[in-house]
Amino acid sequence: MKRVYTVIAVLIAALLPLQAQSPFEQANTAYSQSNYAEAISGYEQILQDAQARDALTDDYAEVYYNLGNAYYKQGELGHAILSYERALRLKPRMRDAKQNLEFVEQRITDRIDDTRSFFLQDWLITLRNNFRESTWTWLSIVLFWLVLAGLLLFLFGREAALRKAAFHVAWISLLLTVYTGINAGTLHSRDAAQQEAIIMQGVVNAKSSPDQSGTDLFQLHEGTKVRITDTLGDWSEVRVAEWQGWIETRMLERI
Amino acid sequence: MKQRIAFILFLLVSAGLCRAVDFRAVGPSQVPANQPFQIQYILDEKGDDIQPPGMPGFELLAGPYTSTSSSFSFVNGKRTSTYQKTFTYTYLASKPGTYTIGAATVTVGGRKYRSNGLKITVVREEAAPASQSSSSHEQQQERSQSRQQRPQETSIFLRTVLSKSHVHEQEPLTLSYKLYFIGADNVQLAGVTKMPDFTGFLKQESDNEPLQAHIETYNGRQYNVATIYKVLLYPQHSGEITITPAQFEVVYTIPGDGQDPFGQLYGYQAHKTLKAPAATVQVEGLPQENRPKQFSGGVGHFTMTPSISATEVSANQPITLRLDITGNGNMKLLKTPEVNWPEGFDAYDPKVNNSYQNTDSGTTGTKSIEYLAIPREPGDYTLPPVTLSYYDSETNSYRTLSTPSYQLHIKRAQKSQDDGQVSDYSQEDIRQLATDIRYIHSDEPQPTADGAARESVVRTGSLAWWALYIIPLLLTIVLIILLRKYIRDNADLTQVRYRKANKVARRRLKRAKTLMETGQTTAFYEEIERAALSYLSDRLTIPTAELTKETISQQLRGRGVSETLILETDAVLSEAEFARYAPSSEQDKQAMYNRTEDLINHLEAEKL
Repeated sequence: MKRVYTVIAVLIAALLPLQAQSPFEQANTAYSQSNYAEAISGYEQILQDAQARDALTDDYAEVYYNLGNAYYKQGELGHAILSYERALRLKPRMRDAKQNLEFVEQRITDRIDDTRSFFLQDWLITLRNNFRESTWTWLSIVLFWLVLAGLLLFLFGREAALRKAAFHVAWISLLLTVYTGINAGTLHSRDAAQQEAIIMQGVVNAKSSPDQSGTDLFQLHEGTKVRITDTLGDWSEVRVAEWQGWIETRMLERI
Repeated sequence: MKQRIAFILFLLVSAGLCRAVDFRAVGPSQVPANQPFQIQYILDEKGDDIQPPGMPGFELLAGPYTSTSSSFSFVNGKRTSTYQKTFTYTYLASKPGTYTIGAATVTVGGRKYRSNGLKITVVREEAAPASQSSSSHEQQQERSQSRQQRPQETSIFLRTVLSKSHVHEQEPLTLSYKLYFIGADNVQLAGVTKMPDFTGFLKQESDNEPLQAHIETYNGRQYNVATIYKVLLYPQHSGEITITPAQFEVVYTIPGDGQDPFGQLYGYQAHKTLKAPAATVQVEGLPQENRPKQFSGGVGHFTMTPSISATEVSANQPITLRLDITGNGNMKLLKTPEVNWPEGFDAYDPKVNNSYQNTDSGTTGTKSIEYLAIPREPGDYTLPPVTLSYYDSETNSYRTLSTPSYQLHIKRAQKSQDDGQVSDYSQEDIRQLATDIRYIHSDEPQPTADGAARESVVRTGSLAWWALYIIPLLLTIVLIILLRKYIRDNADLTQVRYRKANKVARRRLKRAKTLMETGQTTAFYEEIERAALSYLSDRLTIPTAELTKETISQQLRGRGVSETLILETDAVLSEAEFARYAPSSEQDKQAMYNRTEDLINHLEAEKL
């Protein structure tokens, strides 16, 4: 009997590689064979399906990440950056995606130096971007509960030491609730309103007004991240560091 | 092929001679009737006693005229001259038809040579092709026609001849300056006045053997033609490239014309500056699409033969990889392919050995490249394939040649026995060789339910989000209200009991007095004790469960009651408890009663 099981086990093991590959594995295989165009269409299909089913969970960060790699290998830096940014929206602390994004960003034409920012602000922004909106939301909610608990203990505590501690916990928690709440709100407006976008066109001239006859103000290249501040018809007003101008919406892809 | 065999046979036959004698007849294949035409017998040796073949149906108008010429070829600055003797006969045919003309014989050094035969079709005069009126030589042509009786009319000019006028970038073409002359002897190149600078081209002087003068029909006339300059050109950029005109100086002798009584008998020297016209080359750029990244710049057709000296050596033993690139094209511009030796190999600059010739169709030959590397560390390494990409001008597409990838096994270096020294060990930091993106991940996303993404997130501003703040807040508010009320209620009860404590104690004392009078001893003490305890409980707000003598003393002490009164309280409580079970007299009871009453009065005075 034991031998029969062994035989079956061996057979199953032998048959496993013959099993149909999942679309994800197929795309990975195409990538490993340097068949990047096929890999790209494979990943895009997976993401489209998930999006259509409204099931784009954190796990799909891996798909966006691989897609970004495939786009980079094809030389499409704009799409690569967009894919990495999307991967980081789902998993803000995905190290490989961060690394590759940084790497690809060094290869684009525009180098943005926002001279107005200072290190504390940068640090706070990095901290904020390291977590998802829902993380900040939950933190804010839990901290608010802590405020309430502290308040109750302060009011009805029997011992003076306990009441004193509860008082400090309550006011610190209240400050943190406000801070985390602001972070959640900022990320919410960024993600839900899709305020950030990547330039997809090789070279774009930003104009002073939302029409072709406007004066050219400055030039942006593929892969640069911009902030959309307004839209009017087919035009979007974008901001990059201290620059601000109008660009045709079709030149952009919102993250 | 046949010609070649014949030539070889001829060589064998004339083994005594140091070189073959070329004697051939040249004539038009079609002539109009009643028009003079020429047949030339060309000999490349000094010879005489020419016997023309019998020419039935043809009328000999003039001849033989003998002319000798030298032609020159410049190859790498070396001047080579060749000798040519031409016998010219002028005939006239009157009847149309096809005629076969036999061979002529000539004597060279006592030996007779036969020329080839000719076939001439004589057509009717009207059917004769109209004389071409081509641009620059029209005048000469006309002049020659008007003076047909003078077949030796001198005409000498230069032509610029391009092998191709439409080429790809880097595709070779030849440019030759051809000297056309007729009626001139001893033509010699006296100098080069102007030479184009060939801007836009890479120039390779042709290695071809010197070209001999030959007869060529140009614009309906037969000329002696000598190529005086020939160069191989590789266009370096796309577009229209113009080659500026060149200028040469020639000297020649116009032979004397015996028929002209005023002409010179022996001819005279002439000097002329000849201009070769400018030429234009259309250069098409190499296609941008499918251009390999490591395109070597080569255009043509190549093959690559790799060979490696060894794939298994000891450390510090050299390995040589040799690539033989053979083919035809712009060999000179071919970039040396790069060999990416594995880490731990000391690579040396490649040694390039070129052996190629410049022919009309481009540079042909072999480029041998030797790459030397010395492995320093033992191990198994892979030498990645070496690739050479070029544009194949035969198939008009990019091609990439590749060597196989070699597996190199490097053995540990043999240490000599007497080498007692300990080799240096050095630690190295990790060296960055290149930067690239990190590789893709293979963790497949778990199959998710529809709408899973929507449900997993509490969105700012959503109903759930508000609920998570407001419900706990409301709960807390309710809790605060309830707790406050409870405390207030609690506080009221003790207040009541505090206020009523004295009254209750008096009532209990009165009942104890009644019991004392009726002689119920146990009940009396019980009532006394209860009166004291309930008073203390209410006044000190101690729950009955925690009511012990110790807590009472502690509480009293905490409120600053004097020690005597505390002791008294303790004593009264102890006695009341003790006396309950022991027999006692009427006086004792009275005393106990008074003592308790006093205690309560004292405590009342303390305003607990």
